[in-house]
Amino acid sequence: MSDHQMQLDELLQRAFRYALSLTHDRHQAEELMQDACLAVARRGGPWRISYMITVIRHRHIDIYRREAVLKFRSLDDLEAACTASGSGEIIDEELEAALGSLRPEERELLFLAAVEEYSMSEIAELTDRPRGTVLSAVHRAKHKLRVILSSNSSMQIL
Amino acid sequence: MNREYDILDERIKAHYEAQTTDANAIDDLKARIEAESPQMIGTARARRRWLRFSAAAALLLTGAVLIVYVTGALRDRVPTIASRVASEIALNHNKQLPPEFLVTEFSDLCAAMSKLGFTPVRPQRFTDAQYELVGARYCSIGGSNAALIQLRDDAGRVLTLYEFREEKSFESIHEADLDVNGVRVILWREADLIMGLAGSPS
Repeated sequence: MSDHQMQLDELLQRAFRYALSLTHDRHQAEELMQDACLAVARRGGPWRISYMITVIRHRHIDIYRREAVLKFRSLDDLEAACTASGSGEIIDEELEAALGSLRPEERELLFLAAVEEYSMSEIAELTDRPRGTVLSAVHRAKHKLRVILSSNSSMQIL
Repeated sequence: MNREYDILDERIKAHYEAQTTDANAIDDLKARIEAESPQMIGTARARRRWLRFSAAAALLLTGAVLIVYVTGALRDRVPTIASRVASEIALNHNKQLPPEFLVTEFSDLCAAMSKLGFTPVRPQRFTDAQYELVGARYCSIGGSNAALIQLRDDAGRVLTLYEFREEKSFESIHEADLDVNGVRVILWREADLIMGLAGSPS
Protein backbone atom coordinates (compact mmCIF):
# COMPACT_ATOMS: atom_id res chain seq x y z
CA MET A 1 0.00 0.00 0.00
CA SER A 2 1.38 3.40 -0.93
CA ASP A 3 2.02 6.18 1.61
CA HIS A 4 -0.82 8.11 0.08
CA GLN A 5 -3.25 5.20 0.52
CA MET A 6 -2.11 4.69 4.10
CA GLN A 7 -2.57 8.38 4.84
CA LEU A 8 -6.06 8.26 3.35
CA ASP A 9 -6.95 5.16 5.39
CA GLU A 10 -5.68 6.82 8.56
CA LEU A 11 -7.61 9.98 7.76
CA LEU A 12 -10.82 8.00 7.28
CA GLN A 13 -10.29 6.14 10.56
CA ARG A 14 -9.72 9.41 12.41
CA ALA A 15 -12.86 10.82 10.81
CA PHE A 16 -14.75 7.72 11.92
CA ARG A 17 -13.53 8.10 15.52
CA TYR A 18 -14.58 11.72 15.58
CA ALA A 19 -18.00 10.77 14.25
CA LEU A 20 -18.16 8.09 16.93
CA SER A 21 -17.48 10.70 19.61
CA LEU A 22 -20.52 12.62 18.38
CA THR A 23 -22.92 9.73 17.84
CA HIS A 24 -21.66 7.17 20.35
CA ASP A 25 -22.95 4.60 17.87
CA ARG A 26 -20.78 2.72 15.40
CA HIS A 27 -23.36 2.44 12.63
CA GLN A 28 -24.35 6.07 12.86
CA ALA A 29 -20.70 7.05 13.02
CA GLU A 30 -19.93 5.07 9.86
CA GLU A 31 -22.87 6.61 8.03
CA LEU A 32 -21.93 10.08 9.19
CA MET A 33 -18.30 9.61 8.22
CA GLN A 34 -19.24 8.22 4.80
CA ASP A 35 -21.69 11.04 4.09
CA ALA A 36 -19.08 13.59 5.06
CA CYS A 37 -16.35 11.93 2.98
CA LEU A 38 -18.55 11.81 -0.10
CA ALA A 39 -19.46 15.46 0.42
CA VAL A 40 -15.76 16.32 0.63
CA ALA A 41 -15.09 14.18 -2.47
CA ARG A 42 -17.77 16.02 -4.44
CA ARG A 43 -16.13 19.30 -3.49
CA GLY A 44 -12.72 17.95 -4.45
CA GLY A 45 -11.22 18.13 -0.95
CA PRO A 46 -9.28 19.28 0.91
CA TRP A 47 -8.50 15.95 2.57
CA ARG A 48 -7.39 17.25 5.94
CA ILE A 49 -8.63 16.08 9.34
CA SER A 50 -9.56 19.61 10.44
CA TYR A 51 -11.77 20.01 7.34
CA MET A 52 -13.24 16.54 7.80
CA ILE A 53 -14.08 17.38 11.40
CA THR A 54 -15.85 20.55 10.32
CA VAL A 55 -17.88 18.74 7.65
CA ILE A 56 -18.79 15.83 9.98
CA ARG A 57 -19.74 18.26 12.70
CA HIS A 58 -22.03 20.29 10.42
CA ARG A 59 -23.66 17.16 9.02
CA HIS A 60 -24.21 15.82 12.53
CA ILE A 61 -25.87 19.06 13.59
CA ASP A 62 -28.03 19.00 10.43
CA ILE A 63 -29.14 15.42 11.04
CA TYR A 64 -29.77 16.07 14.72
CA ARG A 65 -31.87 19.14 13.91
CA ARG A 66 -33.79 17.38 11.14
CA GLU A 67 -34.64 14.34 13.14
CA ALA A 68 -34.97 16.25 16.42
CA VAL A 69 -35.71 13.02 18.11
CA LEU A 70 -33.64 10.72 20.22
CA LYS A 71 -33.17 7.26 18.88
CA PHE A 72 -33.73 4.46 21.30
CA ARG A 73 -31.61 1.39 21.00
CA SER A 74 -32.26 -2.03 22.35
CA LEU A 75 -30.08 -3.28 25.17
CA ASP A 76 -28.70 -5.91 22.81
CA ASP A 77 -27.51 -3.23 20.39
CA LEU A 78 -25.99 -1.24 23.21
CA GLU A 79 -24.15 -4.26 24.53
CA ALA A 80 -22.83 -5.16 21.07
CA ALA A 81 -21.68 -1.61 20.52
CA CYS A 82 -19.90 -1.46 23.83
CA THR A 83 -17.97 -4.68 23.87
CA ALA A 84 -16.12 -4.94 20.61
CA SER A 85 -14.59 -2.56 18.16
CA GLY A 86 -14.46 -3.04 14.37
CA SER A 87 -10.90 -4.30 14.65
CA GLY A 88 -11.96 -6.95 17.14
CA GLU A 89 -10.13 -5.35 20.06
CA ILE A 90 -11.82 -5.35 23.44
CA ILE A 91 -12.73 -1.83 24.39
CA ASP A 92 -13.06 -0.12 27.76
CA GLU A 93 -16.66 -0.99 28.59
CA GLU A 94 -16.75 1.09 31.74
CA LEU A 95 -15.49 4.16 29.90
CA GLU A 96 -17.73 3.40 26.94
CA ALA A 97 -20.77 3.39 29.22
CA ALA A 98 -19.64 6.56 30.98
CA LEU A 99 -19.07 8.34 27.68
CA GLY A 100 -22.57 7.31 26.67
CA SER A 101 -23.89 9.27 29.64
CA LEU A 102 -22.32 12.46 28.33
CA ARG A 103 -23.93 14.79 25.81
CA PRO A 104 -22.54 14.60 22.24
CA GLU A 105 -20.90 18.03 22.52
CA GLU A 106 -19.18 16.94 25.75
CA ARG A 107 -17.80 13.77 24.14
CA GLU A 108 -16.75 15.83 21.14
CA LEU A 109 -14.75 18.22 23.31
CA LEU A 110 -13.09 15.38 25.19
CA PHE A 111 -12.28 13.64 21.92
CA LEU A 112 -10.76 16.72 20.31
CA ALA A 113 -8.68 17.47 23.40
CA ALA A 114 -7.60 13.94 24.39
CA VAL A 115 -7.49 12.02 21.10
CA GLU A 116 -6.75 14.62 18.43
CA GLU A 117 -4.79 16.63 21.03
CA TYR A 118 -5.98 19.98 19.80
CA SER A 119 -5.26 23.00 21.96
CA MET A 120 -8.16 24.86 23.55
CA SER A 121 -7.73 27.66 20.99
CA GLU A 122 -7.88 25.18 18.12
CA ILE A 123 -10.97 23.51 19.56
CA ALA A 124 -12.56 26.92 19.99
CA GLU A 125 -11.90 27.65 16.33
CA LEU A 126 -13.16 24.25 15.15
CA THR A 127 -16.34 24.39 17.19
CA ASP A 128 -16.90 28.10 16.70
CA ARG A 129 -17.02 28.89 20.40
CA PRO A 130 -15.07 31.28 22.66
CA ARG A 131 -11.88 29.78 24.07
CA GLY A 132 -12.99 30.40 27.68
CA THR A 133 -16.26 28.58 27.05
CA VAL A 134 -14.38 25.62 25.58
CA LEU A 135 -11.94 25.57 28.48
CA SER A 136 -14.67 25.43 31.10
CA ALA A 137 -16.76 22.99 29.05
CA VAL A 138 -13.84 20.58 28.74
CA HIS A 139 -13.21 20.87 32.46
CA ARG A 140 -16.87 20.21 33.26
CA ALA A 141 -16.99 17.25 30.89
CA LYS A 142 -13.92 15.68 32.48
CA HIS A 143 -15.32 16.27 35.94
CA LYS A 144 -18.63 14.75 34.93
CA LEU A 145 -16.94 11.75 33.39
CA ARG A 146 -14.78 11.25 36.46
CA VAL A 147 -17.83 11.40 38.73
CA ILE A 148 -19.67 8.86 36.56
CA LEU A 149 -16.69 6.52 36.52
CA SER A 150 -16.25 6.87 40.31
CA SER A 151 -19.90 6.20 41.02
CA ASN A 152 -19.88 3.19 38.70
CA SER A 153 -16.83 1.83 40.50
CA SER A 154 -18.50 2.36 43.87
CA MET A 155 -21.58 0.54 42.66
CA GLN A 156 -19.46 -2.36 41.46
CA ILE A 157 -17.78 -2.56 44.87
CA LEU A 158 -21.14 -2.52 46.57
CA MET B 1 -6.52 16.48 40.11
CA ASN B 2 -4.46 17.31 37.01
CA ARG B 3 -2.73 13.94 37.22
CA GLU B 4 -6.12 12.29 37.47
CA TYR B 5 -7.35 14.18 34.41
CA ASP B 6 -4.19 13.26 32.50
CA ILE B 7 -4.87 9.61 33.20
CA LEU B 8 -8.46 10.13 32.10
CA ASP B 9 -7.23 11.75 28.86
CA GLU B 10 -4.97 8.79 28.18
CA ARG B 11 -7.84 6.42 28.85
CA ILE B 12 -10.14 8.31 26.48
CA LYS B 13 -7.42 8.38 23.82
CA ALA B 14 -6.72 4.67 24.14
CA HIS B 15 -10.46 3.95 24.08
CA TYR B 16 -11.11 5.78 20.83
CA GLU B 17 -7.89 4.69 19.15
CA ALA B 18 -8.83 1.08 19.77
CA GLN B 19 -11.89 1.59 17.61
CA THR B 20 -11.61 1.35 13.88
CA THR B 21 -14.17 0.94 11.22
CA ASP B 22 -14.06 -2.21 9.16
CA ALA B 23 -11.34 -2.38 6.49
CA ASN B 24 -13.89 -3.52 3.92
CA ALA B 25 -16.04 -0.51 4.75
CA ILE B 26 -13.01 1.71 4.21
CA ASP B 27 -12.32 0.06 0.84
CA ASP B 28 -15.97 0.49 -0.18
CA LEU B 29 -15.84 4.10 0.88
CA LYS B 30 -12.66 4.71 -1.09
CA ALA B 31 -14.30 3.21 -4.16
CA ARG B 32 -17.25 5.55 -3.70
CA ILE B 33 -14.92 8.50 -3.15
CA GLU B 34 -13.15 7.61 -6.38
CA ALA B 35 -16.48 7.42 -8.17
CA GLU B 36 -17.44 10.84 -6.81
CA SER B 37 -14.05 12.43 -7.21
CA PRO B 38 -11.71 10.41 -9.44
CA GLN B 39 -9.07 13.08 -9.07
CA MET B 40 -8.84 12.32 -5.31
CA ILE B 41 -7.60 8.79 -5.81
CA GLY B 42 -6.34 9.83 -9.20
CA THR B 43 -4.11 12.34 -7.47
CA ALA B 44 -2.10 9.46 -6.12
CA ARG B 45 -1.92 7.88 -9.56
CA ALA B 46 -1.00 11.19 -11.14
CA ARG B 47 1.60 11.68 -8.45
CA ARG B 48 3.00 8.19 -9.11
CA ARG B 49 2.98 8.86 -12.85
CA TRP B 50 4.73 12.16 -12.25
CA LEU B 51 7.25 10.48 -9.94
CA ARG B 52 7.92 7.79 -12.55
CA PHE B 53 8.29 10.43 -15.24
CA SER B 54 10.58 12.52 -13.00
CA ALA B 55 12.68 9.48 -12.14
CA ALA B 56 13.01 8.55 -15.81
CA ALA B 57 13.86 12.13 -16.76
CA ALA B 58 16.41 12.35 -13.96
CA LEU B 59 17.91 9.05 -15.09
CA LEU B 60 18.13 10.21 -18.70
CA LEU B 61 19.62 13.52 -17.64
CA THR B 62 22.15 11.80 -15.41
CA GLY B 63 23.02 9.43 -18.27
CA ALA B 64 23.43 12.32 -20.70
CA VAL B 65 25.62 14.24 -18.25
CA LEU B 66 27.65 11.10 -17.62
CA ILE B 67 28.12 10.47 -21.34
CA VAL B 68 29.18 14.06 -21.94
CA TYR B 69 31.53 13.92 -18.96
CA VAL B 70 33.05 10.56 -19.88
CA THR B 71 33.38 11.54 -23.54
CA GLY B 72 35.07 14.79 -22.51
CA ALA B 73 37.31 12.98 -20.07
CA LEU B 74 38.23 10.38 -22.69
CA ARG B 75 38.84 13.08 -25.24
CA ASP B 76 41.13 14.82 -22.77
CA ARG B 77 42.89 11.56 -22.05
CA VAL B 78 43.35 10.51 -25.69
CA PRO B 79 46.58 12.19 -26.72
CA THR B 80 46.36 14.35 -29.78
CA ILE B 81 48.99 14.15 -32.56
CA ALA B 82 50.46 17.41 -31.29
CA SER B 83 50.78 16.12 -27.73
CA ARG B 84 52.28 12.82 -28.94
CA VAL B 85 54.84 14.66 -31.07
CA ALA B 86 55.57 17.07 -28.21
CA SER B 87 56.11 14.09 -25.86
CA GLU B 88 58.54 12.49 -28.29
CA ILE B 89 60.40 15.76 -28.70
CA ALA B 90 60.60 16.29 -24.93
CA LEU B 91 61.82 12.70 -24.44
CA ASN B 92 64.59 13.10 -26.97
CA HIS B 93 65.44 16.50 -25.53
CA ASN B 94 65.91 14.96 -22.11
CA LYS B 95 68.22 12.27 -23.53
CA GLN B 96 70.67 15.00 -24.53
CA LEU B 97 72.23 12.75 -27.18
CA PRO B 98 75.54 14.03 -28.50
CA PRO B 99 75.37 15.71 -31.93
CA GLU B 100 76.62 13.81 -34.97
CA PHE B 101 77.39 16.97 -36.83
CA LEU B 102 79.20 19.75 -35.06
CA VAL B 103 78.20 22.76 -37.10
CA THR B 104 77.65 26.33 -36.07
CA GLU B 105 75.74 27.63 -39.10
CA PHE B 106 72.39 26.48 -40.43
CA SER B 107 73.70 26.75 -43.94
CA ASP B 108 76.25 24.03 -43.08
CA LEU B 109 73.45 21.69 -41.95
CA CYS B 110 72.12 21.38 -45.48
CA ALA B 111 75.31 19.78 -46.70
CA ALA B 112 75.87 17.74 -43.55
CA MET B 113 72.36 16.22 -43.34
CA SER B 114 71.77 15.26 -46.92
CA LYS B 115 69.63 12.20 -46.10
CA LEU B 116 66.81 14.14 -44.47
CA GLY B 117 64.80 14.57 -47.64
CA PHE B 118 64.25 18.23 -46.82
CA THR B 119 66.42 21.22 -46.13
CA PRO B 120 66.69 22.29 -42.52
CA VAL B 121 66.34 26.02 -42.12
CA ARG B 122 66.93 28.58 -39.44
CA PRO B 123 63.50 29.48 -38.05
CA GLN B 124 62.47 33.00 -38.88
CA ARG B 125 61.35 33.60 -35.33
CA PHE B 126 64.94 33.24 -34.12
CA THR B 127 67.08 36.33 -34.00
CA ASP B 128 70.77 35.90 -34.74
CA ALA B 129 71.88 36.64 -31.25
CA GLN B 130 69.18 34.58 -29.57
CA TYR B 131 70.46 31.04 -30.04
CA GLU B 132 73.84 29.60 -30.89
CA LEU B 133 73.89 26.45 -33.02
CA VAL B 134 75.77 23.62 -31.23
CA GLY B 135 75.27 20.67 -33.57
CA ALA B 136 72.74 18.28 -35.03
CA ARG B 137 71.88 14.62 -35.55
CA TYR B 138 69.39 12.54 -37.45
CA CYS B 139 66.27 11.61 -35.65
CA SER B 140 62.74 10.51 -36.38
CA ILE B 141 59.38 11.77 -35.23
CA GLY B 142 56.35 9.60 -35.73
CA GLY B 143 58.28 7.46 -38.20
CA SER B 144 59.38 10.46 -40.28
CA ASN B 145 62.89 11.72 -40.69
CA ALA B 146 63.67 14.68 -38.52
CA ALA B 147 66.60 16.91 -37.77
CA LEU B 148 67.46 17.16 -34.11
CA ILE B 149 69.27 20.46 -33.77
CA GLN B 150 70.93 21.47 -30.53
CA LEU B 151 71.01 25.12 -29.59
CA ARG B 152 72.34 27.14 -26.70
CA ASP B 153 70.70 30.35 -25.60
CA ASP B 154 72.26 33.51 -24.16
CA ALA B 155 72.05 32.04 -20.65
CA GLY B 156 73.92 28.88 -21.70
CA ARG B 157 70.87 26.63 -21.55
CA VAL B 158 70.66 23.86 -24.12
CA LEU B 159 67.54 23.69 -26.25
CA THR B 160 66.54 21.15 -28.86
CA LEU B 161 64.96 22.13 -32.14
CA TYR B 162 63.22 19.53 -34.25
CA GLU B 163 62.47 20.06 -37.87
CA PHE B 164 60.50 17.57 -39.94
CA ARG B 165 58.47 17.66 -43.08
CA GLU B 166 54.76 18.33 -43.12
CA GLU B 167 52.91 15.11 -43.80
CA LYS B 168 49.27 14.07 -43.72
CA SER B 169 49.68 12.45 -40.32
CA PHE B 170 50.82 15.81 -38.92
CA GLU B 171 48.14 17.95 -40.52
CA SER B 172 46.42 18.53 -37.21
CA ILE B 173 49.50 20.13 -35.76
CA HIS B 174 49.38 23.89 -35.72
CA GLU B 175 50.67 26.42 -33.24
CA ALA B 176 50.99 24.84 -29.81
CA ASP B 177 52.77 25.63 -26.59
CA LEU B 178 52.79 22.55 -24.38
CA ASP B 179 54.27 21.46 -21.10
CA VAL B 180 55.49 17.85 -21.12
CA ASN B 181 56.60 16.80 -17.65
CA GLY B 182 58.22 20.16 -17.03
CA VAL B 183 59.69 20.51 -20.51
CA ARG B 184 58.19 23.32 -22.53
CA VAL B 185 57.63 22.34 -26.17
CA ILE B 186 56.60 24.93 -28.75
CA LEU B 187 55.27 23.66 -32.09
CA TRP B 188 54.70 25.72 -35.21
CA ARG B 189 54.77 25.51 -39.00
CA GLU B 190 57.24 27.26 -41.18
CA ALA B 191 58.60 26.79 -44.74
CA ASP B 192 56.67 23.53 -45.31
CA LEU B 193 58.22 22.15 -42.17
CA ILE B 194 56.99 21.50 -38.69
CA MET B 195 59.22 22.95 -36.01
CA GLY B 196 59.40 21.84 -32.40
CA LEU B 197 61.50 23.66 -29.86
CA ALA B 198 62.05 21.88 -26.54
CA GLY B 199 63.66 23.21 -23.39
CA SER B 200 62.88 26.42 -21.63
CA PRO B 201 62.77 28.84 -24.55
CA SER B 202 62.25 32.45 -23.60
